[in-house]
This record gives sequence, structure tokens and C-alpha cells, in this order.
Amino acid sequence: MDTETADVLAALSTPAATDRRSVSRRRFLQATAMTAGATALLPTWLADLAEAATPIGPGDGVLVTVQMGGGNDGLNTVVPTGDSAYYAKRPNIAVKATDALAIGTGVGLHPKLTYLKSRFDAGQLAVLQGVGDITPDLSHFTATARWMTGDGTEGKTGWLGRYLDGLPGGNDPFHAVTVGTSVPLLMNGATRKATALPQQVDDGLSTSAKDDWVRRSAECLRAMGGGTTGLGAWGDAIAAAGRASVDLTDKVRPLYKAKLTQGRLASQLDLAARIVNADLGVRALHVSFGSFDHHANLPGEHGQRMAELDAGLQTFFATLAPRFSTRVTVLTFSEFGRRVQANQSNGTDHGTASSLFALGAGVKGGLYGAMPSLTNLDRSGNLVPAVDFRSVYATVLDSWLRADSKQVLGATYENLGFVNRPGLTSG
Amino acid sequence: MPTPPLAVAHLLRRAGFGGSPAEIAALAPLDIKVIVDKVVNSSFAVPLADPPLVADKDADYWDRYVAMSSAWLERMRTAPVGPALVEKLTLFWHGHFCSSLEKVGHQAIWNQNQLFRVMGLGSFRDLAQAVAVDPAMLRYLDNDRNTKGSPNENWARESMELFTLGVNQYSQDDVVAGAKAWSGHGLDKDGRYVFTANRHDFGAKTLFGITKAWNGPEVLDEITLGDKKQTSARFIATKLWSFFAYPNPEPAVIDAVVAPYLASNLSIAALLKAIFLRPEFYGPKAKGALVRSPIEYVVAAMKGTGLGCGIAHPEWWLEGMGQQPFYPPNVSGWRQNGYWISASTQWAKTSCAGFLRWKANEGTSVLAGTQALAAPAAVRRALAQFGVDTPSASTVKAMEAWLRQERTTTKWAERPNLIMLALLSPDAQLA
Repeated sequence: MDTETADVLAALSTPAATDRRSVSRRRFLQATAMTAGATALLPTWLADLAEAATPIGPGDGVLVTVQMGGGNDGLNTVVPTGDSAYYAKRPNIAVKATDALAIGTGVGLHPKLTYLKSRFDAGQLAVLQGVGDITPDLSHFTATARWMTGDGTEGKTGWLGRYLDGLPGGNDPFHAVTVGTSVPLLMNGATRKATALPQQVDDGLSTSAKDDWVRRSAECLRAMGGGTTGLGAWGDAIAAAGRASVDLTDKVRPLYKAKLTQGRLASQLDLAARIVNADLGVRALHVSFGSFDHHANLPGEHGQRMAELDAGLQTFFATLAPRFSTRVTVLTFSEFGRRVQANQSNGTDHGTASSLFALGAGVKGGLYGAMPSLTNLDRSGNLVPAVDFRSVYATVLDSWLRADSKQVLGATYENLGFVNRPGLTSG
Repeated sequence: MPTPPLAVAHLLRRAGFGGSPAEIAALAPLDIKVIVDKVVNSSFAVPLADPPLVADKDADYWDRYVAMSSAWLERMRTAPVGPALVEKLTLFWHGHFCSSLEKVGHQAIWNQNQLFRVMGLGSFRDLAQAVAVDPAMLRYLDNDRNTKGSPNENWARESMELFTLGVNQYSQDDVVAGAKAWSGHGLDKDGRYVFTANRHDFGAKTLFGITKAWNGPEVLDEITLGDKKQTSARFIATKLWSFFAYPNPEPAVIDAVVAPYLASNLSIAALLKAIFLRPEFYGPKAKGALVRSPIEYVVAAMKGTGLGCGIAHPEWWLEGMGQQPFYPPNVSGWRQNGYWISASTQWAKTSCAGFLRWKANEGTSVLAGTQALAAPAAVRRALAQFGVDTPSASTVKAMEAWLRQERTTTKWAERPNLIMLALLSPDAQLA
């Protein structure tokens, strides 16, 4: 082995190993209950990508969906502080009226949602109450599928995927991005799908790398994904993903230049904001975190998730460049809410309607929908939804993304009116 | 009758983590029935040695995790025919009867893993009963908090939907009744299973239309041995077929493998033997039908490079690929195929393969002789190193073109990059 080789090997293997050890360990610990809910630091980093891909148009809005997996307890998120039934049915786990952050008469936010409260006060948080599936299903997986497809089925395409299918122009990998390792049904269209971006990209293989032998490896990986492989559909998909990873390496690498904010959700939303700032043409972003499946010990666990949500959203808007600050709407969702009556384990079992948040300068703040009755329940003891969840999608599609909700959702749903589009162009 | 070596190789990939050329050569002269009996062999269903760190509560959280992850993956890497299936099946059960280190302690989740190893080939009824009172599961699905008066539905629901019956095979009323039936089955202060009579609801409940004083284990017996037996058998057979052969099997195929399963008192070993003896398992529909899960991919990479967990550090790469052992994403476990394919996971695989190429180049003799071979032979040799016996024309073409170029310039980069590119080929990412 010559000197040059030894240097190259040392440079490539050793630092990666050292870095990997600390990164894996840190990320793992972050993702465990031990450190869940650690307060995120505010980022100072703003993306400064020199080269924009296909910037979004002046009238284009961006949507960020935040999935709260496991079934978020809506009643402890947006608390009916004025309803005695709430306190009667949840003697040990209710949020005290004096602790809740009042956003109206008899209604308050979970005490950890201080950032959201400030945005509510600024008129930029829509609180969507009583939102649910009119044919509720208490299975996590069936319910998640129904929320993701948005067309009343558990089929193969998601509502944002079908929105992508209808975007004008060619297929662009940056039209929709999900943070994580796989693309959720939500962003799977019939002809297009989102690109998944990780929370970390190491060197990657780039066709513009400094060293010719790296460039050649990159070209080889591209070539393996240059057409049909004869290995079947999965082989073709793997090969295409390998090629895409090469093609995207140079574009995404600057996003990771500075360390991401710590925190399971904050790190994802930090990256999401950098992607928007890079002006790569992204119209829809997706992040997810959890679990919200609090069958036991709800107050502590749910409180930590609420703190993560609040810190994550604060990170997102703090990271967003000023020129995009009016151009992004964030929408939260979860597959269902939870039972009104607490169980004996200080938790709540699977339920139906819940509260959602829509947040951004393009949102007309306030309370929407209606808090369902806590006493007039369905036969499983669950809330009767006041608003079909697809009305929320229709509002976002028609008023914010300027798409055709009827085409995407297969039917017409009420526009809830929480979008304030003029805010979009003023930025 | 001898068995075609390609069929043997396919079986060892699916029913394990891939066979060595020597293993394949040793089995090929035998009849497929004899081979399957060697592959599915309950005498190997024995526990692994417990990694000492797992029990050491003073040790670092991450170090304890790495110790148990490495112990398991190292076993996957080195297990010969027989034990290999036990580990593959343990991986299946881990993704089926999910519990997670996120909610459960190291020792409990490790013990659950050993339970899958020891009981995974036996009776499904016995396995399900053991899982129901397994401390990790009692904690993970909150049944340790399920008491008379205000039951907790978590275990009752998921055990029917995800573990034994499937969606739409039960009602919400069955969930409520099931939760009452399982009340009182919890943990003592030392984290061991205990049935506490005064926390159990001894009253009558109506479950699947039958009203009686149901107790939890009777619910599982009703599902696995009673009127729901067929439904449950088909559910388990379909899930195993999808994991080992291909998704969405034809009903006739399931009929065929369910029969010996039911006839053998729900023996998983009998069910697996039936699966591995079906012609469809070796047919065109099975080829290329499964994407290697990240754990399978990393184990195959370690087998091919000869590097153990202590050098390859699977724990550094698996999160980015989307699968951390002992850490399923939720109670439904990992999905398959498309779930593993994205630019995101390809970057993680590139990092992993890029790291392993240097380690293999420095510390092993893997592919050491390929520089003397002509490009086509060198490429085929490299792919075969990672179990790719019939590479695609597009992969071969791309790699040959690359190698010819490489040989005209920086020769030193040939061997490490041959290892990396073979690992990144789509062929090596299929099961």
C-alpha cells in the first residue's frame, strides 16, 4: 500500500468511526424514554445554500405535517376546563383549569404548550376541535391508514401523494420530503412519491467528488439504477433509490453542515426548516414522532410529548428564514383521540375525535369546530366527532395549497376557513 | 433426489442469513425433504449465553444495548444450518409479538428474545400463552396495569388484532370483554409475572358471543384452539409465508400449509417445513420478492466480509436503515419491502458499505485474489461473495465498466470499492 493510499484510508475510516460512535449513542439515548422531552436548544443556524434547485413560486404555500403517532389525547391537549364532566371522568389525570393556558372561555392548552399559546395570542394558531373520522376505527393501523389516504379507504395512495400527482411540471424529488427512513402512505401518490431524507448523511457518493475513484464509484452506483434490472419491481426500486441517493447527495449535503437541534421532533423540524430555506421547490414536508399511545401514566408521558411538540415547533419557526416565515403552514394530526373516561392505570384507551393544530402566519387564529359533548358519547364511551377530518384537508388543499380538494379527496368537504392566504404573498 | 444448488442457496437465504458455498455443496446431494429437516430442527431451539452486561444495572445504557444487540447479530452471522433458522424465526417473532426497549428494561427484553428462541418453533398456542405472561409484554402493552373495575384495553386489543387473529376478526365489545378477562395478570414488585386474584374481574363477560367467567388464558385458547382456530391459523400462516416467501400468498397456498399446522397441534416447525417444501416457495414469484431487512442486510454484509460485530458495528448503521433490534417502531413491528427502500436508507447503506470496505481491505483476505481475474470474473466473484448467485445483467454491466476504468488508473482502489459496490448492488439488497 503506498503512502497516498494509507492517507486516504486513514482519512476515510477513522474519523467516521469516531463520529459514528458518538452520534449513534447520542441519537439512541435521545430516542429512549430516559431523555425524552429534553428541552431543545434554539438554533442559530440558517441555511445558506448557494444553489437553489427549482424555487417555489411567489404564490406557493408550503405545508408541513406533524404526525403524532399512537393516538394523541385531544382532551388533555386542548382542555375543556369549563366542563365538570371532564374532571369527573378523569379524576387523576385531568389538567387543572388553573394550569391550562386559557385560549377561550372554558378551554385551555396543555401547560407545556407555551410557544403555541404565544402564537395563539398572535392570531396564528387555529385550534381545530372535535376533529375525527365519521366512521371511527379504534385500530392504530386501520385508523392511521384512513387518516393518511383521506379518501375513506385504506388504499395505496395518500392525500398528499395525490396532491403531488397533480402538481404541474415534471416529477421533482424535492416537491415532497419526509424526514426518516421510509415514505409514509400519506405521501405516496399513484405516480409520484416523496423523497425520504435522513437526519444524517455521511460522505455519500458524489459524482462531483474531489477524488476520481470516488466519482467512478458514484457513477457505477448510478449506472446500476439506470433502468430495469430484471430483478423485479423491488430490485428496480432499490436500484432507483441508489441512483437517487447519488444524484441528491450534493444538493442535500449542505443541509447537514451544522448540527441539528437536539430532540426527537426538534431535530426533524430543524431539518425541515432548512429544507424550506434551501428553496429546493418543496411544497410538502412530513415529520412524525410519538408515541402517544398512553394507556398508562398519561400525565407525565403526555406532558413530555407536549413539551417536545412545543419545542419542536418553536425550533422550526426559529430556523425558518424570514423570507419564508409567512409561507409555511404546519398541521398536526394523529390517528385518533382517546377515551373520555380514564382507565385505572392513569391512562386512556383508544378513542375517536381529537384536537388538531394549524399554525403559521397564513393561518387565521382562533377556535374552530366544536368540543364534542363529554356525556353524550358513542356506545364505546367515545366522543362523537364534530368535524370530519377531511374538512381539514379540504381547507388546506383548496385555500393553502391551491389544489382541487374534490379531485384529491374524491368528495367535497366543508372549508373550515382557518387559512388566511393573503399572508402568503406579503412575505 | 439431489436438490439444485440454486434452490438450496435460496432456502438458506430465506430460512437463515445465507449459506456458505461449503454449506450449499454439502446439502445439494440430498433430497429436499432431508434438507428441510436439517434447516428446521427444534433441537437447536436453545438459549444463547446471556451477555454479562445485560444484567449489569450499573453499566451504561447504550453499552448494555450494544452488548445484547451484538450478541444476537453475532449469532445470526455465525449460526450454521439449523441454528440459523432459529435466529431468523426469533427475528420474525420479535417483529410480531413486539415489545420495545423504549418502554421495557434491558433484562426483560433480552429474556423475551430468549423466549422466542426457545419456544418459537413449538406450538403457537404455547408461545402465545407464554408471551401473554412475559414480563416485557406485560409492561409494553400495559397489562400490568389492567385491573378489575376499569380495565386497560391495550393488550386485549393488540393481542387479537396483531398477534393472533388480524383486523376485523373481533369487535370492540370483544376488546372490552378481553380486557376484563386479562385483568389481574400483572407483575410483582420484582418484575415477575403474578396473577393477583383481587385485581381480576371474575364476573361473566361475553366474548365472541360466549358468556362465561372468562379468564385471560382461556381467551387465547379460544382463539387458537376453539371456533377461531381456522382464522388464527390462516393469519399466522399468511404472516410467516409473507416473511419467508412473498407477500399476499394465494389462498390455496395457505390452505396447503395450514393443514399440517392444524394437524400437528399448531406446530410452527410443521408449518415452516410445509412452507419450505412448497414449489411456490422456489417459484418465480418468490424470486426477488423480498427486500432484505436492514438486520438481514448487515448480517449478510458481515458474513460476506468476515467481519464481526466488534469491527463492523452494526449498531452504527441500523438506525439510519430503519431497523434497530429490540426497538421496533410500534406494536405492529416493521413492515417489509417498500418500507425499506428510500434515498434515505440508501445513504445509510452507502455509509455502512463504505466503512466495511476499508475494514475488510485492512483486516481480511476477502476478494484478495480478484485483481488477477479478468473484469467479468472479478465482478461475479465479488457478487457471489455476498450471496448473489445470479446477478442481473445491468449490475454486471455497470460493475464491469467501472472495474475496467478503475484498472486503468488507481489500482489500489479496486478491491475495497469492489466490496462496496457489490454490497450496494440491488442484487445484494434482495433476500
